[in-house]
Amino acid sequence: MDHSLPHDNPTPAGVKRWQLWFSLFAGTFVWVLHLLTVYPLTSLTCEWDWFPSEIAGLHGLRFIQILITLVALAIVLQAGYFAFNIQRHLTPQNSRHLFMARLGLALNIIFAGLIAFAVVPILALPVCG
Amino acid sequence: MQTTQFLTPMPLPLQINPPYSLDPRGPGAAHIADLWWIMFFLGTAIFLLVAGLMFFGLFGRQDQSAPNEQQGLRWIMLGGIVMPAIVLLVVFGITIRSAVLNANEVGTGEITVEVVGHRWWWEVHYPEHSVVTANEIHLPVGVPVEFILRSNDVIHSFWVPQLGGKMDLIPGRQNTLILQADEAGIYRGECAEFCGLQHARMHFMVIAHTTEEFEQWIESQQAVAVQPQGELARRGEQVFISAGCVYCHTIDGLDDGAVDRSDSDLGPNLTHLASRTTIAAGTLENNRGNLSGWIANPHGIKPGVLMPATLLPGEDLQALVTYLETLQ
Amino acid sequence: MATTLSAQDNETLKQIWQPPAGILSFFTAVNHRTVGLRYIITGLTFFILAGIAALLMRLQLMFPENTFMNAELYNQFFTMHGTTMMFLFAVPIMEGVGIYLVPLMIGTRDMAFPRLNAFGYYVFLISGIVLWVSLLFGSAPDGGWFAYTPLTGPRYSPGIGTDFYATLLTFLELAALVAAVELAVTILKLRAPGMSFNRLPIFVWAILVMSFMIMFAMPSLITASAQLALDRTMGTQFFNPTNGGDPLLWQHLFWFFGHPEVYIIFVPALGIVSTVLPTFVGRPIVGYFYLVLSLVAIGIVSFGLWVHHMFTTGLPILGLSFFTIASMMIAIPSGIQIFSSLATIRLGKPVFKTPLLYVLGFIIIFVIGGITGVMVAAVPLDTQVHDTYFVVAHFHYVLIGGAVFPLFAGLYYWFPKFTGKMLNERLGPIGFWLTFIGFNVTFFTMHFTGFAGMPRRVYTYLPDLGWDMLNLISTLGSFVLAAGIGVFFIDLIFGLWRGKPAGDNPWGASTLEWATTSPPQPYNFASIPIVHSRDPLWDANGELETYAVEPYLGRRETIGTSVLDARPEQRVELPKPTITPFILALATAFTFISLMVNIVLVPIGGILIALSVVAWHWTDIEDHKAKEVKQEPEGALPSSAIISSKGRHPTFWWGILFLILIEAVVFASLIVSYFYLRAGAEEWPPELVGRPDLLLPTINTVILLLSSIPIYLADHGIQRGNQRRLKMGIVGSFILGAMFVVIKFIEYGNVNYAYGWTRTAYTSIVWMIILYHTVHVITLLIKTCVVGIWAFQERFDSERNAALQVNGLYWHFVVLIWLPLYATIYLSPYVLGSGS
Repeated sequence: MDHSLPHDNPTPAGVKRWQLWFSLFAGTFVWVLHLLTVYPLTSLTCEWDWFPSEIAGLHGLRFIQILITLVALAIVLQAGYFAFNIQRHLTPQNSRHLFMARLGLALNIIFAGLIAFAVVPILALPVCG
Repeated sequence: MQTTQFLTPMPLPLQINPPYSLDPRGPGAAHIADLWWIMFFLGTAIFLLVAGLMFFGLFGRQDQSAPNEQQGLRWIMLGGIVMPAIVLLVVFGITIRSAVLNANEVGTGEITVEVVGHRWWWEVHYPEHSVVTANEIHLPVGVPVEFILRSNDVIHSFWVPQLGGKMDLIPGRQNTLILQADEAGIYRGECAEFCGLQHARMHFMVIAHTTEEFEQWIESQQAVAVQPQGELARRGEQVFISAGCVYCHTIDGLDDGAVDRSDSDLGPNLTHLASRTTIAAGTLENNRGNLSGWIANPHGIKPGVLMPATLLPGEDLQALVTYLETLQ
Repeated sequence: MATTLSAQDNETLKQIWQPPAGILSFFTAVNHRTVGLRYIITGLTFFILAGIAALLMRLQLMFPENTFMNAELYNQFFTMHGTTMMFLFAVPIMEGVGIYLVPLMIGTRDMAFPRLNAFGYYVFLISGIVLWVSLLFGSAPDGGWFAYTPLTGPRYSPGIGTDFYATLLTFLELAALVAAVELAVTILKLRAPGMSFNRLPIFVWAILVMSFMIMFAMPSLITASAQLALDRTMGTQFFNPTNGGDPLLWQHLFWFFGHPEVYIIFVPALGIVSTVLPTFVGRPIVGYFYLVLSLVAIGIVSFGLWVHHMFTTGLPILGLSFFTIASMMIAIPSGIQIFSSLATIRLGKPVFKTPLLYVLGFIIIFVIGGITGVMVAAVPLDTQVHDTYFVVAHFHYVLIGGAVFPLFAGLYYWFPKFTGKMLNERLGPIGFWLTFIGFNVTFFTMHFTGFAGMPRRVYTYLPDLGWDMLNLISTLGSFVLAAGIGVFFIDLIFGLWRGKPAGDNPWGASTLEWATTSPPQPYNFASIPIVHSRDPLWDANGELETYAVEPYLGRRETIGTSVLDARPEQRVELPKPTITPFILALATAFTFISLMVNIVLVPIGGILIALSVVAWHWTDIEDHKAKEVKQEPEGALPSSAIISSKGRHPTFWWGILFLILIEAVVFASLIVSYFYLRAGAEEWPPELVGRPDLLLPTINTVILLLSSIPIYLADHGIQRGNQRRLKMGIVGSFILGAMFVVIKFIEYGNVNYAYGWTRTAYTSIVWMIILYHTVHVITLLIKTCVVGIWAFQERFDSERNAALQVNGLYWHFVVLIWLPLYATIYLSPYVLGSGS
């Protein structure tokens, strides 16, 4: 029986599958985790009076939130770099892999933006207003 | 008994500013109105651009040089990504700026007013002045006032469109809101969160005075109710006690034999009822006819209201209203 | 293998796929097109009902102090309008369009789980009918579609109306989830050979995104509505602030569902737009990649917006701002959608047929709704316009412009495929213009009404506040809008009655649904098409390559393909018509309504459900006995029921995987509820109850963890043909699982639990989590019993063991999910201390 269909698309050599999948999903997970960390931290700080002291000249909450944001950003950028790297190594024949890699790259750019912008309110707004 | 004549409520002929939030009379509402107008012009420009491109695409002359996918992708890049990104940056920036402006006012209130939401009226306290009133908030002009918002039953939302944004009153929590009126006048307030059957008739009035007038008002409110003069009014006082009104309504200075009013669905404090412009939470003008109509048949005006109808002989009703009208 | 079927095979195919006939056929049909059309027709019926409710509300608001309708009725009407439009119209109809079209567009013969599909429909139908019947008796829910607690709690809404809301909503969400799971599995596993993910039609992408959104969003609502129902009927304290409950918990859970909900409706609508538009401008959509990107991005980012419904609840402004970012950012993917449409229009040659008009109407209206959406995302502005008519205007622009206009475009576009008849091109534009003008008159005006200070959800208003004229205009506009929608329905009925015959592909479209007859044969495609590009019909020049599935087993079958590249890998069996889905739906409905009416009846409902499930699977087992003997021809694809090798899981393995996903979100919602209540509590656990004992639960946790080992060994063993290890493993796991349940019940006797779940919010949430998990373990034990019986009958071997694989998968899930629950309930009070 002939299984050779028009679109049999094995993973090309030099593409690590885990990197491809990581680049597709890491942005989403990191963004969700970031949101689910910085948002409750704000509420808890205001209700329970966490982080009363300053760290490195910043309000404790701000410091922690920026730290979390930077870590999150680093992971997302790494995922984006994986995707960027993969799509450089692909030819138009690997259309499905190319599609996934470009999707991963674009999603990571979006989530990097979403995460990075959190810095603005963290620095600009009063902690419990 | 001729209660029927009271069934049709008189409309409210008071000269009050319409609650138009783009006609701000306080800094809170003014910031927001500024934010709105910036967004309005940006938004209009974007809408015109999109509509223009659509009609251009539909009726414009076809590009003879074989239009290709690349040109389309350029549209998506510029129109779908770059333009919204720039606009959003601007909007985000002014939003944060406006939020900072609003937030900077927190803690600057010079007077504290506690507002407790009830189904379907507003209990108002001036803790610094020991004044209790209902559905009517008097403020001095030009002074930031800190509102402490609570609720004992369901969620309500406190909103005076001309003075600023709204804030919810949530049972089990306490919210604060700073408002300031820049001009003397009467501003309408509404309950903005659906709170049940009579959510529609849960209005209040914010009355901004000059500082002297405000102090006068506070003074008059601090006084206990005067002893009723005249036979009719004294009889009314007795009716107030015997007909059961006292079980929900407090009148300071009235000897009511220490009634237990610990039930949480209490009615408004009536000590200075006659000084208020409206009754039934901003629904009716405070006059004799409306007052008797309200007592005899509150459900005709505000169906489902928690105040029971009080069936009184006509004379008793007249006496009661006469008494209530003495509560200046 | 042949590429087309012989004439004899064709005859067999027709016989096998013969739809049921007779009166009972309404209750036995399982075909996706039948079910899809029923969804669409039922959805449109609810649309009309909710629309009439809206018109009556507009009549009441036409004049100040109008007495057309009293407050009681008005509140019921606006609640029913919102609830119906969201839950009984928008979501089901989008799912219905998906259920009808997805199998056709991906070139397969039916959904992955046709019986489940039919079950979902009956659930939807029953809950819709019961909800509307409650209105006839004047006891419809009246707390708004958002049902904010404590207004909807037992104290402030003592009537039965809100019980209808809380109970039926929980029930109805079953239908949405069922449809989502099987749409996703169908799209992942049943695509035509060659339809790799980068060739998926945009509409199918949209439905896939929608399905995953439903799977993540609805469980949160189910948790919330179950908590509300428990508060109302059992006396738990989740939302009662005087006993440690928190009204804002409801808002968080509700809007975590409620905001994605809007996009659940909007995403498939975008899919329709990007499908209809290319056909009427005669060129492929511009920016396929960007469209897919934006659908996926919208789907994900929409979960980061929910707090923007809570900007006025007094939460810290810093916390709110994080949600402003996401709320504004979502304008970029929406912008991509709009500019892709604009570019496609520009580069193509528009043909002004009715579907195109509705698409153009969508662009104009949706852009306005999107712009006001960015505005309300700004916290300060939102504090002015929140809960006013400005917001009413905004979301009607988004929902009617963003979903109803595309839906109408889609219905005009696919009507020939549904019925084989064309619609009238003279009535169509009249309907469109009336709808478009009426809509704008009604709702554009409401922006002003909002700024003029009129709050939402008021049954009447005072005169002379500047609202009178605005409301009058809105009311007049709403009747023009209604007239337009009326013309649309007349057109549909007229078209059904005497539309011209349509032919296979009347619009000259490019997607696979137009490759078959109108309406399609019961089996959709005699031979499965092979796909080489994104626009198969435009690129194939009428010569579609096909892949034959010979009906030699004499049963309903289609091809299962690999997830990413759609390589054929198995033959998937599809069920025959059967009445069991209807019976199961009745049994489930009985149980839910008992919850509301009389709790004593619930166990009876449980027994009825169990019996229906047995009946459901009974025929499968009998069928398999008969068919296992049949020889398969040389070189045929392996049949799905016996597949087990890695990466070729049968479709129902995927179904269970998504069930696990949904369950995981439910458990996560419960854990979030626990910590949310904890964060607001003064002392946690309350002094009265004290911290939970650790010894027994810890031993029990170890027992549960251990129970995973024998089941793993059993699965492993049978794959090597070791029957003895299979039997021992199953028995071992069963014993450990049963021990867990027994010890749990011993633990319940403990003093900590004696307070019952009605005492405080703490006991409510702890009991809910423990009970919910215990129910899972018991279900697992029952399932394992069944599988165990089969194991002792030696029905499994190294190839035929899919049921074991699935049972094992679910077992490990129930065990693993206990760990975070254990940490939450037992460890957190010790680790985090007992107060704020």
